[in-house]
Amino acid sequence: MTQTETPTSRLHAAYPESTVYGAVGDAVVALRFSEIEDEYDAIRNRSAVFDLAGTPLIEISGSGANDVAQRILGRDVEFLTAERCMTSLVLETDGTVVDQVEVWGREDGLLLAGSVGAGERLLEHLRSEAADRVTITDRTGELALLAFEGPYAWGVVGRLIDGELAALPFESIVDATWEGEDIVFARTGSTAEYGYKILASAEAAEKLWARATEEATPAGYEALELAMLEVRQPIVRAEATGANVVEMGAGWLVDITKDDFVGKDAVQAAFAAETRRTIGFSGGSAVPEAGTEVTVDGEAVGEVVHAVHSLALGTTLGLARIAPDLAAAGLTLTVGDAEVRTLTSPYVTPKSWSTPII
Amino acid sequence: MVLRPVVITGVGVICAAGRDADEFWRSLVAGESGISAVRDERFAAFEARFAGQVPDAWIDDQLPVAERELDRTAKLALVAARQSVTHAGLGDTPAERFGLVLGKCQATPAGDGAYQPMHATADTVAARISAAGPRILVSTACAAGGNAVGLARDKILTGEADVVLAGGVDPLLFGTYAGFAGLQALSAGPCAPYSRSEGLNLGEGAAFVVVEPLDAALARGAQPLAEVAGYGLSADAYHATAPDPTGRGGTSAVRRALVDAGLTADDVDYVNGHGTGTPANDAMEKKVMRTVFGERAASVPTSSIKSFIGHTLGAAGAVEAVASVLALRNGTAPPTIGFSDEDAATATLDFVPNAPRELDMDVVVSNNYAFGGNNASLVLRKPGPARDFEPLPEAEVVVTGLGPVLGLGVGVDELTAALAEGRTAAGGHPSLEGRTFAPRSVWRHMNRLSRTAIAASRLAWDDAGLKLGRAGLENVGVVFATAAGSIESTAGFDESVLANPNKPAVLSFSNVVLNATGGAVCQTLGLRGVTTTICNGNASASVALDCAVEAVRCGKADVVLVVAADEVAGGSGSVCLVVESAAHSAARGGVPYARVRGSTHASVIGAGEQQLIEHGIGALNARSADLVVGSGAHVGDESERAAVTATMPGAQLAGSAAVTGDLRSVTGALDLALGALAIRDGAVPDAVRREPAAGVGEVSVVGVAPVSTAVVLGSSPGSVRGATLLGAV
Amino acid sequence: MTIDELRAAAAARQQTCSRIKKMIVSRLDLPIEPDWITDDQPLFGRGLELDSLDVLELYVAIEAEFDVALYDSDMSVFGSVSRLAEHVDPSLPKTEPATADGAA
Repeated sequence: MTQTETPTSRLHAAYPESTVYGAVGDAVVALRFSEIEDEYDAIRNRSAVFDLAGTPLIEISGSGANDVAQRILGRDVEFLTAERCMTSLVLETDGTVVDQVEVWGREDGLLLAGSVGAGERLLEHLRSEAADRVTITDRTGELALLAFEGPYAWGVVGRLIDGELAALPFESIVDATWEGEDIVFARTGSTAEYGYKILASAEAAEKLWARATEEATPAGYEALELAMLEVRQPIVRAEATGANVVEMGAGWLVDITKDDFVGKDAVQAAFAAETRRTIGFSGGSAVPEAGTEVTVDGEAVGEVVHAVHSLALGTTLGLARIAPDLAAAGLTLTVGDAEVRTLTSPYVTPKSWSTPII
Repeated sequence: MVLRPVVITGVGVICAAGRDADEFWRSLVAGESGISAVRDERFAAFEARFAGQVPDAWIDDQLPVAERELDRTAKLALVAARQSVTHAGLGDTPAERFGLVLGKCQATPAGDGAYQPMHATADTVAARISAAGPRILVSTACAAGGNAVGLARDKILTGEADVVLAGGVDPLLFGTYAGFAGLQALSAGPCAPYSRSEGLNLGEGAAFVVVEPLDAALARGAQPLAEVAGYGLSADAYHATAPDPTGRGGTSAVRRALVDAGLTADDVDYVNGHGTGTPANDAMEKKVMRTVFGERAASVPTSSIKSFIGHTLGAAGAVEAVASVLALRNGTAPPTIGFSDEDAATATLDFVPNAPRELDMDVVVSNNYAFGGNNASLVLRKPGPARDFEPLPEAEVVVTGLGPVLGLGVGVDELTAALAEGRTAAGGHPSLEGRTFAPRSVWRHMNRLSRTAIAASRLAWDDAGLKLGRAGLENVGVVFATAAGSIESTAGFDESVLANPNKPAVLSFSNVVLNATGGAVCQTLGLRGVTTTICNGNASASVALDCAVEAVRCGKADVVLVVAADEVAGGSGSVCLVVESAAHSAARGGVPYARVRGSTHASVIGAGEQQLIEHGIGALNARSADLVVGSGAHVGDESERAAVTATMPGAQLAGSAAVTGDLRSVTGALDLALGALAIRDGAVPDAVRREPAAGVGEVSVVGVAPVSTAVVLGSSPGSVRGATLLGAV
Repeated sequence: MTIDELRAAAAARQQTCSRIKKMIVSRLDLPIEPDWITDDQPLFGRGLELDSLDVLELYVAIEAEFDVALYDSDMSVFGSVSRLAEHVDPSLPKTEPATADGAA
């Protein structure tokens, strides 16, 4: 972990000294600001604020924008209005995952927000697929994306911005102003808690970050990825390598009832095939490396995709890719030397599911 | 612009808290609830057993013996209607100048699982009080009663009537009870709006107000009780049954009502809230209060009389309008009952807990929020002396888009081709295979009726070439016209309740309300403007067109979608017309089909339907129209055929029923569309005029002479007769 | 457990999951193949994008299909098909998740 590379975020001057940076793809982001325990606790029990610097923000505009997006994105965006957003995979023709993007409907096109640090590949893919038909603009440098997550994030939004926005329906977008600055506000998230995102100019984001960190706990990328894993929200950089969409368990992020999209044939073939499946597991004290064998009585039945130490479970939490006849919850398997148990998702029940907005 | 002041001069009400207005008011100020355990043993099937019921004796004691055999809906309505007429001291209003607007949510069972036409209750009441003027059945679910009072004001402003009786009615029906229970919306005990908010109680009742111009009321020596200063409608465009939690739709209804009344939020002294007692409603309503009143929110008393009588559905808005009139008259805000001491101490707004409040009030707002995301807000104020006013401005209104979705064809091109080839298709279902008109997650919640209506709306929208940004969509209205709503959902729901009342098909239930499809159109297209639902049988579309034109004239919308949809045995369909102010169309380069030059509606009491039609054609100066589009000439409407023969002997007669069979409201809308098509594009089938067939017959296409004017007859035989004159732009 | 016993246990759960998927698709009239639903994908909001009305329908469907009344259950029962499986089929081992309370 290096602290010498230049952080991607333009807000990093406002980060605390204790911030630990790390590379995520082509970005250098805050992995944590202080103690991960506290940041994680904010996500699951209070409210956390994230600076999603390193998120590629790419605008597709022009009269053919919707047609192009409809072809490039795995999900159906034909009726995505300027008030809605959704999450979709972007695939190569062979079905491999380019990235998972949040698609924001805009009046004159769409805005794609990809995974942190995954901008170069996404931009290259979009340009090669569509640059001749629409305008593709990389707005990453001029815009900032902040996020709030937590069972009480709605309260923070209410205090900071507007109580009415906190109760927006899931995946809604509103163009709003905050202290005289134009912002785009969305109700969406990735930890299954109440989640909100704000897209603002880099200057406005500085003010917003300063105010937001008074109301919510700033949390880094480590805590975010942990919380995403706990609710089985795909983390592309950890899960997509060497697997197709069905093996990843991300079939829900494409829509194969759609007429056509890049990679559709490959996804259809994958659905038809008896492929390995991804299943969550917990157990053991050590965190196994990706690729660690999963065995039963010494017989290899799969391998670890990605594992971390779960603060909520107090043990290792991971994903494994397993032979289809063993890809089910409630089984005891062996990972390395440790006995683990396979799980049903979500692996941690979000408090937001039982916390009403008042 | 100061419009003619319109006032309420009489009120009538019957509900669980009283058999008339006096008893009702006494109960309210005494804090005495009318909610009790349901007497009907069948309701023992449910865990929740409280409701606001009207004792049978309260009804029958107020009716002549001959009328005691009527159905409960009609009886409740008659009792309240007569009370209000008597209260207003109406004497010699000419029948044809006396209108009726009735709000009603539930179709009235006719035995054997069938239902009366939605408008039958209005017909029954109108016949007995001799109201032969405009007759509208509005069915915006739980907002219908308030909506009706607003529409009545419009009818006075347009000059179509001198007096309009406006109200709402709904009885307690077992199926509806099962549906609400299935939605888990019922409170186990008496409801507690704004405090515990554990669910609602259903109720039953009826209420009416007599609406007339202030000057006319004063001239006849009547006592104006309250001025109907304005009203506002809006669509949530959010969900079939749940209110938009942000309160956005509710807020815009209140704001529109205040604008209509020429008032601001600061002028409001008291709010009679919707206050059903469900957590979703009450939370949303608090947001509306905070958004509309801002800092003042906590100091604007707001109460829910549903705490006394339960949720009376289509009657609710009318009962609450009566309560608001009485509150104004008595200078007292009725309380919201059901508050514990702790609830009262911790309430964040002033809900007038448990005890009435003397309050000097000038302006009262009454709000209703309904299934389908329909919101209605009514502004009442203390009546002043007569004042100068200006007539409602004439606005040029044009039809700029058509969206036919029929067994015969989908879209204008397919329809025109079918007409050109002389094809017919009696009924049948439109084919929407292979086409999507909405996001999948929305589409799959839609029943057949909503899907056809959404398809029609999208096609009409595209046909009109409309491209509106978010702000524009906010003000696009939708007037939905249907004779019977979704037969599919109604049958599916009824079947599920019959099988097991505790396992109702809730998705079907959410689509049983007549306005569900209108709400679905709003939700899918993101339209949040003025919205209502008209159920006047085959005349629904022409009445709906009137409402759309009025919305444009009153400056409440520049664009309104009139969407008709119905199902019949073996067929279904929908037709949408985009109605737009000529100025708006011209500014965006729209190419209108036709201009709406005028329309008139009259209602049947007894015989003489032919004369009504003739009178309508005469009133529009339509005798020399180039084309008559007859609504029923081809399905055996003798009165219409005779009226056309008598008044317009040389005219060409067409009619869509000859081509598609009778599709209820859709036939009316298609007739309007055919008139519009003939004027712009010169294509109409010429159905044989002097040999009316009993159904779909041979259709010959003739090279129609250029059509510059077309009169379109809208009819709901036995109920409403209308005529609309379309002309070249 | 031997590998064959594990396979049998997996098959039992997969079979229940498969029944649930078929039930959801047919009851809610979804235009998809039941197999396209993944055992672990979200069902509400994102994923299958079900809503509160759908839940009410599913309660009734579950009772008809599995003879289990879930009416008063909290939302976590519908966390995923695999989670729902162990609530409608008592023979499946429970994999109760943690709550994050007091995690830190």
